[in-house]
Order: sequence, then C-alpha cells, then structure tokens
Amino acid sequence: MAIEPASELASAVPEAIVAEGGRTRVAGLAPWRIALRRLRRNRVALAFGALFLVIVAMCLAAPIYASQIAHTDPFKNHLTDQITIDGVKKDVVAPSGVPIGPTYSGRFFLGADGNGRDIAVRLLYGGRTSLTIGIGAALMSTLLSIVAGTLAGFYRGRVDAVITQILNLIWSFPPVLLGIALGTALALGGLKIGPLELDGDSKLIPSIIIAIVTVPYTARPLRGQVLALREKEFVEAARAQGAGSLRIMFSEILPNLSSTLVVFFPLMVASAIGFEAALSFLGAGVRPPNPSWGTMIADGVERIITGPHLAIVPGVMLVLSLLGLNVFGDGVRDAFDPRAKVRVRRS
Amino acid sequence: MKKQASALAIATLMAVGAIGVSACGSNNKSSSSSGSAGSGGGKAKKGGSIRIGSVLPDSYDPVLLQTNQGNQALQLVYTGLVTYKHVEGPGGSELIPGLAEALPTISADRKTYTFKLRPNLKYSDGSPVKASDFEHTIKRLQFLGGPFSSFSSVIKGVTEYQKAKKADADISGITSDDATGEIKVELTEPNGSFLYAIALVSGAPTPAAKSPFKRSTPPGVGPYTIDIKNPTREFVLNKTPGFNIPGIAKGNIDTITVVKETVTKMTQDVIDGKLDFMTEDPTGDLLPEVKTKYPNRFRMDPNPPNTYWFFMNETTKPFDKKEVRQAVNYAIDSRALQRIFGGRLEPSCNFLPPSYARIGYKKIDPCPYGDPAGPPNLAKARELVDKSGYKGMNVTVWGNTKDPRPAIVEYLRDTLNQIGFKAKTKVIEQQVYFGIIGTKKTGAQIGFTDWYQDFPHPADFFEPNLSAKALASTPTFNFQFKSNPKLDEALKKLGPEADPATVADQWAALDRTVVEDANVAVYGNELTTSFFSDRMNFDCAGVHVVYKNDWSLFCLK
Amino acid sequence: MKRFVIRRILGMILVLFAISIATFCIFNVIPNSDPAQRLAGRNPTKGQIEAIRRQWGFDKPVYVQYVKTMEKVFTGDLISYVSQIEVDKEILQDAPRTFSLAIGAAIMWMAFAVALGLYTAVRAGRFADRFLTALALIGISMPVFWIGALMSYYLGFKWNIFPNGGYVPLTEDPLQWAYHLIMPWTALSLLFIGVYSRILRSNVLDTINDDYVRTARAKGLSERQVLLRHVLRNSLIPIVTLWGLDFGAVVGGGALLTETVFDLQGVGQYAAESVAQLDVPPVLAIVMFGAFFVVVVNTVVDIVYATLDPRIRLT
Repeated sequence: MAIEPASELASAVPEAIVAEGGRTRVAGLAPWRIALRRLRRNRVALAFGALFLVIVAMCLAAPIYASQIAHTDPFKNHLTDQITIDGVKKDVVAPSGVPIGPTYSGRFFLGADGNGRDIAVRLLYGGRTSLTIGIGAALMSTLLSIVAGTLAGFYRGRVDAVITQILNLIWSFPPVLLGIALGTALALGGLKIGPLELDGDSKLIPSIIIAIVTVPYTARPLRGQVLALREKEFVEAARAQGAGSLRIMFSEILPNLSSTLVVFFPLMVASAIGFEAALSFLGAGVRPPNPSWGTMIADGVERIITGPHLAIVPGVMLVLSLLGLNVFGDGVRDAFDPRAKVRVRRS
Repeated sequence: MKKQASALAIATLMAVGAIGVSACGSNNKSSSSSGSAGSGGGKAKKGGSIRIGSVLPDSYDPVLLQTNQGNQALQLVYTGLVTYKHVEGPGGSELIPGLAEALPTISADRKTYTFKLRPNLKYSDGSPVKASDFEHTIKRLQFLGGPFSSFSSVIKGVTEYQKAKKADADISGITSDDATGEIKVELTEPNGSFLYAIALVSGAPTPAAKSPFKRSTPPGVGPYTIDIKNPTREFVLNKTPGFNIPGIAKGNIDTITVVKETVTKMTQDVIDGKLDFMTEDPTGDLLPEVKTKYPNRFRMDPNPPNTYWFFMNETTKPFDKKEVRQAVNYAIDSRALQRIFGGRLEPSCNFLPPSYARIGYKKIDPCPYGDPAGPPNLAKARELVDKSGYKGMNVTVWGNTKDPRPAIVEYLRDTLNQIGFKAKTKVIEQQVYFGIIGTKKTGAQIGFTDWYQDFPHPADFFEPNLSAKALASTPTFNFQFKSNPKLDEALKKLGPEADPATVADQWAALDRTVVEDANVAVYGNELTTSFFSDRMNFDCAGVHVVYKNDWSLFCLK
Repeated sequence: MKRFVIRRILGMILVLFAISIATFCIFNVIPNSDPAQRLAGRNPTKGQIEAIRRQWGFDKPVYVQYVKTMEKVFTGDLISYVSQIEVDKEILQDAPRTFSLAIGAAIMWMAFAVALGLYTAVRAGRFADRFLTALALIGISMPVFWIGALMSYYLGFKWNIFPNGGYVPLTEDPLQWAYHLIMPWTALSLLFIGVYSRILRSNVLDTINDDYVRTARAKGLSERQVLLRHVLRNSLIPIVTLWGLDFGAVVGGGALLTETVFDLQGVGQYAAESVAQLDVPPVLAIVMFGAFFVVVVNTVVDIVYATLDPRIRLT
C-alpha cells in the first residue's frame, strides 16, 4: 500500500507537504485528495457503492414496509390464516405444510415460510440483522487489528511475540470451524467476561465471533506496516522531539495506517457479511426466530423443491450486497494505488 | 398372580400357534393405525435380498443403543428371555416367550420372577446359551450405564452392584442355575413394567465369555446375524441358519443390506427402486409428492406410540396457576401444528397414544379444551390469562434444534403472544436439550417435549414424565417439577399390575385426570411413515407397535 | 537454512498444542453440557450417571481429561459421544473425499484463474476484460453454500444433468467419481477463480512493461514467448504461494460448506455435524488434523519461497 505519494505524482501536488510546528507530516492531504478525486471519476465503483446504500436503505425501511404494506411483522405466524387473491381464498400454509408462493401483492409479496411468516418482511428485517452484524464485526475487527498490529509492530520484542502467537493461533484454526465452534458454544452458555454479560441469543455474539476470527487477516499486514513505519525518519524526528511512545503511535503511525484501513474496510465488511451468512446457514450464527439472510437461505434450501424462491431471494440480496461492497472496495483500492490505473495501457 | 400367568401362557401359546402358520402380517392397507393382527393375506414369498436406507444405529452394542433405528435392526439379532409378538397392530405389544420356555412364573408377592431357559440354545457363533448369561447382561447394562439401565434397577442388588464399581461383583437379586436353566429374579418392589423392559434388546442375554465390560458387539440369538461392514456407512443382516424358536418369525428376506444416506437421497432412491425401504420419514419437501404419487406403497402410522405436548413448569410463574395452563390448552391449534409436521400429526388431547387402545387408551370425548381437530379458543384463553393476573409477563419458550422443533416452538411463542404474554424462544442443541431443561435450576417455564415409548405400557408414559418418582433423577423428564398427587396414587396402585390390559379402564381414567388438570398441553401424535419400493409386497409392511417396522415380516412380491 | 526449518517445525508443534487446548476449553468451559447426562439417556439413576462418568473419565479433573483425550487422539482410541463410533476410523474414511474435493478444485481454479487472468491482462481495458472482470467479481460475491445449493437443485435434482449429491470413491469408478465432483469443484472454485485471476491480471500488468521484458522483446522474442516465458513466470510466484496457503486452508476446513451442501461426507462436513451436536471428540480430532495440515502446508510454502528467494531466509 502506498503511504507516501508515488514519486511520479509528488510534483503534481506541491501543497502535499504541510509543515506543522516543525514536524513534517508526510501522510496528509495528498494521498487522500488524489484518491478521492480518482474515486469520483470511477463511475462503476460509485454506482455499486450506491447499490449497497440502496440495499441498506431498503432494510432500514423494513418497519415501514411491515406495517404499511404487509400489515404484519417478521415474527407473526399465520399458519391457519387464509388470504384472498383475485377473489380466491387461499391457505397461507396448506395442510400439507407447503406455504404459499409469491403473491406479488401487498401481503406475502414473496410468499410465506413454513411458519406462515411473510418472506418479504423477514427479508428486510433479515437484511438489517445481516448488515448490522457484518458492519459491526468489521468495525470491531478493525479496532482490534489496529490495537494488536500497532502494539506488536511498535514495541516488538516480547509484546510482539505474544501478540503474534495469539494471532497465529487464531489464524491456524480453520476459520469456519472456529466460527461454528464458538457460535455453538456461546449460544448455549452466553458470554460472561467481567462486566460484559451477553445472553446466548444476543446478536452481538456473532459479531464478536466474526471479529475475533478475522482479526489476524488485518492485524498481520498492519503489523508489517507498523514495523516498517517505525524506522521512518519522521518517527525518529518525533522521538528526538521528546514525544512519548503513545504520542508517536497516535500522531505518526496511525494516520499513516489510515489509507490502508480505508482500502481494507469495504472488503472487510463484505467478508464479515459473508461469514455471518455462512455461520447462520450452518445454525451457529443468528438464533431463531431472528431472521438473517443466512438462516433464510438455510430454511429455503430445506424447502427448495416445493419453493425454490425461498432460497433464491435471500441469496440474491446477499450477492447484491457483497457485489456492491466488492466493486466499491475495488474502486477505493484503485483510487489509493496509483500504479493500477496507470498500468492500463494498450500493449 | 399365578392364575394370570397361566392364562397368559395359554393365550400366548395360542397366538404362537397362529403366528406359526403364517409369516406374513395383516392385509391392512388403510393409512391409519392399528390394523388387525390377522394372519390372512396369503403366503409370503420367501427369499431375496433388499436394501434399506437408514441413519444407522447410534450403537451396535445392544446394551448401549438408544434410537429406534438401532432397535429395528438389532431386535432381529438379539432376543430376550421374553420378547414381543411379531405381528402388526396392537397385538404386537403382547409378550411372548423368547429364550425362555414360557412366560415367567411370578410369585404371590409379585416380587420374584422365575424363568426357565429353553434347552440347547446356541448363539450365532455356536456357543451355548447359559442361564447365567442373563445376569451377565444386566451387569453389563448397569456397569456401562446403558440408556435403559434404569428399568432394571428395580432388581434387588443392583444398587449395591453399582456402588461396588467392580464389573464382576454379584447382583444378589439374580440367581441362575446353568444345569437346569433356571433363572430367578427378585425385585425390590412389585413392578408391572419390569417384564416389558427386559423384553427389549438391552435385556437380551449374550455369552458372558464374549461380552466384555466395554462397548462391543457380542453374538446373540435371533433370526438374523449382523455383519458390520462399516459402522458409519453400512451393515448387513443375514438369515441365521437353523434358527428355530417357536413364536419368533424366522424372516422371509435372506439378506438385508442397510446403508447410510441423507434423507432426501433415501427418498429418491426408494422412489427409483434403488432402495427398498427407509427407516426415516421422507423429507417434508418430497412428502406431498410421495403421498400423492405412490399411495400403493406408502402409509403413515402413529408408531412407535408417541405423544407430543408442551411441558409447563408448575413451580415457576406463570404456569404455577391452573388457569394459565388451561389457557395454553385452549389456545393451541393442532391444525397449525399439523402443517408444521407436514401433515404427519394426528390431533389429540389424550396423554396416552391411541395405539394403547387395548391397554389404557380411551379417547377423551369431548376434549375439555375444545376439539383438537378444530379451531382454538383464543378468546377464552385470553380471559383466563387476564384472570390469572399474569398478563404481560415474560415467558421463554424452550426448544431444540432438531427439525421441526424450532418451527413448533416458534408457533407456540407466537400463540403465547396472542393471548397476552411477552414470549421469546430459546432453541438449543438437541443433544443437550433434555439435560438442560430437566435441571430445576434452569427454570424452564414452557417448551417442547415429546415421548416415544420405551415399551408398551402406560406406566412408561406416566412415570418418567409426570410422577414424583421421576423427580428423584437428575436430570429428570418431569419438566413440570411437580406431580399430581392423584397420579402418584394411581401409579402406586396400577404400576405393579403385570398386565395393563386388565386395568385399562383405570389407566384411561388417569389419562383423563392428567388432561383435565392441565398438567400438560397435548396437541397430538406424530405419524411415522412406511415407504417401500415397487419390489416389496406392501402386505408385508410389518408395521409394529414396538419396532415401528418389523423387518422379519418383510417380503418381496 | 536448517535452522530456519527447525524453528518453523518447533513453532508448528507449539501452535498445534495451543489449538488443542483452545478447542478443549471452548467446549468444556460451557455450563450445562455435562456429557454424562446426555450419554445416559432417559431418566437416569444416579448410579447410571456415575457409571458413565467412570467409563469415560469425566470424574477426573479437567486437565487430566485433557491429557487422556489427547492420548486417545494419538492412539486412535477416540470415541464420539453421539454414535460411539471410533473417530479416527471415521476421519480416515472421510479424508479421501475432502482431498478429492480440495485437489480437484485447486487444479480447476488455478487453471481457470491463470487463463482468465492472462487473457484479461492482455486485453486490458477492452470489453472482454471488463466483462470477464465483472464475472470474476460476481464469482467472489456468491456465497459457496448458496450457489452450491442452487446448482445441486437445478442441475442435479431438477434437470438431472449431474448427479444429485453423494460421492463415488475414485477406486470404485473414476468416471463416476469425477462426474459426482464436477459441481462441488465448480462451486468451490468460483470464489478463488475470481480472486486469483484478478491478482494475476494485476501482476501481469505490472511486469509486462518492466525492463527485462522490454529487453526480451528487443532480443526478438515473439510476444507470446515473452508472455509465457518471462511475464507469466514472474507473475505466478506470488500466486503459487497463495495457492499453497489456500489449498491448506481448504483442506483444513474451508471445504466444509461445499461438503455440507453436496453431502460429500468429508471431514469438513463431519466436523460441522459434530459441532452442531456438541460432540467434542471428533471436533478436537478434526481441528488438530486441519490445523496440522494448514501449518504443514504453510511451512512447506515458506521453505519453498525461501529457497526461491534468498532474501527471505534472513528473517
């Protein structure tokens, strides 16, 4: 990841070097401004970013949809109810257990599930859950990675050894297996660490698990960067000025990590959302009756013969969200890495 | 009880004679339960080999197995001193002599059972059957802590045996004479279910020399011998040459190969004829298709006898009040639950299953809380909840992960919300579910439970689930954590009766009491399926009240 | 060099040890999961539970249990709580399936990724590049269990183009073996093809205008020779190491979702089922097996990389 401006472009932005009280911040406006400008010009990335935001907006609007259009909530069972479509009375769930298919009208727009619940409503509420957990996990993972990577890279020695060993330990576990092991264990017993007490059904638990499992993937590159950064002249200069370790970490190291983190973040959110879906699919993520796209796919796969749409629809939402994040994340990375765009030449 | 014993002996001899004539089951083609135990229906074709799809036994060791799939397979390999009649229908709950010459003589105080082993019996490996092998089996059962060991703990000396913690310690209550073949079993108190319990596979004698005190597969006496090709994928049952015990079907099929497959694949394979039978029920997804397209080789029966209900903890709020429990009974809609079962639920309000018609089931009509096959009475339920003063209370509905239990408790949660509670669900792994809700500390208020019989006796339903005696175990299956005193009294009186059929009316009365006092909220009995390939003769479906399907009754077209 | 290898192996043993402790703790620190109770069956008597505790060693303190369990892992005596099956036998049976899936998928994704990456790099900026890159991105965004389930249903069950799940051993019928694995291989590869082809593309674009390549062209080599002999080889090095790591990760448990969806009865699926049933012995054994494999592959990759690139050895 380029932290300092690439030599080819340094001349283009002379105001990049901002002197502040004697200390020189190399990272600062230049990479950000350039990156932002490049990103703005990348229509495709922006479009997909917007797609993701549209999905987020839809999911946020879930309560409105539920009350105004579907007239139900994601938990209400309509097992023995009947609705009228085109003048014909139909069972929401037939006596054989097969739920009604998409009605394309206000109620049960996408049909019902085995308990007679409105799929469209659950889809939106499920999206809230999946997206919240994904974004939350990515934020927690980022925070943990920053702490771990910075401490390890900066202090080195024993601190580094301990932190690296812990990261190695987590990283050597097959991630999905670790995820479901923790997910199952914590769902059963809840989480009790000091003042923090979470019930087994809490949505925070999958977030925490995903954060822990994915920490090494971000912490290690960050650590590598910090190791390199601490040798730089501006760090030496800061030390010469009498700045303490903590000060240096906050004012010199962290800002230089920011561009890396910005590039990582959309992709981290995407992989966290995907991970949550996988965990919930296997039954070790979100607990019933809370909907999530993963649990809905699992339920849908069980009924795939009598109702393929039950598995297809939540999957499509998931794919669109991930696609939006991946393409946007790609665009962000291209924006920060000057070499990528420059290289696209007809050979 | 000598009179009863000899009457039983005569009856079983007659039944034995009848069975000896025909090896085929009844002609019953209807899709509901309890067909006649008839011997009509023509001669069954002998020979051939079939393939069965199953999830395979949880253990191949007869004292350690727990599941019905294990039972179906191993009952052909191991036979007890007494065993169950091999006929379709309610007759299958009757006991007949197995390795013993006749049903045991029971002493006047009903505490001593005397058996006499048939002479010249040999195990499948050729070694002779000795009278002392029975005590060895019970020792194994107790030492290894097998799932059904609690039923033989009524034998005198078993508690001491367990305390001794030594495999070869003696059980004082069992004395055997290898020379004469006599086995005497003394109980600590009269117990009418005892004989039914040792008729199970876990009570089947196996050679002491070849049955070590650890998990193993000893030889047994039975119409088939097992050959475990691969414990998690396949095993084969071959007809035992020279097997000849009167009353026990020799089996028509020569070779039965049992393989593990997913239920979806099994269903398709039976449809295509790649498998001839499956021990599981077709997946909910394929069930409608199977029901409509293949009715001539598919049927549903409430076997093995079972009941599904919601437990309610009577020591915690809000279900400590009878009104609230009644409210739940008024509110639940078996028709909704039927849908969750994919149609495989027969609504009922009786605690005992309908298959117990001979031994204690009498349909409660009208049901005190409304017709189970009709709409619920939510208004009345709400009224009762209001009256109780518990309206708005938080309730946690417990369930486990085995399909379709999450959907069932989801339904209950929604229903409780509709009648005035604030309910949420807690679904935990099936393996640990009963242990957790069976611990009083957990304080589970209400949740899913079901009961599949261990053996055909009403005490098997009442005692473990509702009695004071059950509360002595930890964990317990009495999730009410309280017992109805009328029930305990009745159990004391009826429990020791050797044949429940003689006191069937009183069992039925107890059933009624439990339902009226709303100790439970019953919603129905699950229907299990028998699905065969085209090759199989559907008249030989072998639907059995203990084994679900008795494979020794199967035959090809 | 030798010291490097020895150090890595020691590190590997340490990690495996730590993983086994961590797994054991995860399952034994939960309240309410007394294994003796679940093994006991219905309405157990106190004596029965004690008998089970004694049989399985649950009456001993946790660290003794840990030691005994680890002993059993290595002597092959480990027995599952649920089905009383010998765990090591089950794993040995399932392992060929997992390997078949992983190796086949690894070859498939590598082949397609290289082809795709090279092609899009050469046609950089043009429509073909954009279109294929879009496909690659869609591939990355599709969860393997979802696309796998749909493939299994439509291509397998509904239209009968491929068999509907299940596995045929290679030794039994190689053609059927491959036929049954085509869908799982494809589902598993989609994600990796997407990622790898794009990395390769950017590597190729980086090297295609480097000096030594210009020299090669100046020497008179054809564009194709330049591409294959110089550009590709240099672009592949980072990919190959990544490939080794990912392969290790797939065998170590990443294939879990694919196996579950296609019912291949591999090690990953066995692990997932065991976790769902809180069956500790198989989970312990499989985690060890998986971690061992991951660490071994990583060490091998590191060693290979170190031999190829002398600069690395110094760390």
